[in-house]
Amino acid sequence: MNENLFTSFTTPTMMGLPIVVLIIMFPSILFPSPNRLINNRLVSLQQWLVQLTSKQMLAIHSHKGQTWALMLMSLILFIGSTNLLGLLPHSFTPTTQLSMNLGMAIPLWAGAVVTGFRYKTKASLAHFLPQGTPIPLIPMLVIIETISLFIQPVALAVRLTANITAGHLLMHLIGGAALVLMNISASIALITFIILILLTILEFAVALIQAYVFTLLVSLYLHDNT
Amino acid sequence: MGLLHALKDTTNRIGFFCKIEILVGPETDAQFHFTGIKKYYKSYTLTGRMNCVLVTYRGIALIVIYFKLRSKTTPAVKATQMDFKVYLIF
Repeated sequence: MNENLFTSFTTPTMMGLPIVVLIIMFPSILFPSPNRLINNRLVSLQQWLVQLTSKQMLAIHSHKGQTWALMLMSLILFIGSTNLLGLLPHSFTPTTQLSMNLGMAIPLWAGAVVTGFRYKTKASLAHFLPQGTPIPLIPMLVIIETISLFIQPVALAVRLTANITAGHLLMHLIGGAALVLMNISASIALITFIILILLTILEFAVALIQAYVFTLLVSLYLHDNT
Repeated sequence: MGLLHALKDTTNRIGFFCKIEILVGPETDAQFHFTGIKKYYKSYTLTGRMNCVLVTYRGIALIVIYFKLRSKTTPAVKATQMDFKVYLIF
């Protein structure tokens, strides 16, 4: 049993040693790599899903942007699988840790921005000022656009952390409430349990949507800079 | 009247096609024909936007450097006899 509400968010240890690295690497063994010309059903389904996602996500990119295909597909598969595994009871979800999400967001955002400044310096600098800005507003808008650029990786990381953490907390709270209400009133406990079922379904959707949103935003930042 | 209507109609159609020409395709500086200082500092062209951004950053850097240098050259306050007497009392 959990001692308090936030026990599931502490980094797990085994005999005093942190096993968070093993937990982060665990989803990769759930994706078998294709090693035959004609694969089995599971691998074929996996390949079909990856192709569907990559076609949809990389359609807007130029040739330079499409070199990031492996990175983006790995990202969406990793975040999606980690979020889904975190919905198992008593499991640890690495994407609830802001440190890990910042560790993913900052290098990807910085890579896109540096690529943009390196290959399209004029366009990258011009992005800081919207077209048609009146002259008196130019200094203020440049400052605002600079701040919004530096906020992007923070927003990426915090969005993922907050969504997954909030969902887990809500499930904990409503599950605890349903358990307590069982001794008080069976009908209210049943309503709470139905709400818990609906919330769990929502959390499954949120797990996949957040993975998609994170990857889509990285892809959009890349598109702006290539 | 019929001729005026026809001229107006033709002008509208030409204007419509010109707008399509400007809207379709990547943004280029060649579609704008500014002269003088507006050629380099106008927020409609890519070059103009870049130069405005660079000027803003340089202005901010100059303001920061000015205030840093000003704080270094501010002379230290000299102790007066009154200050010394107050010190002795306490």
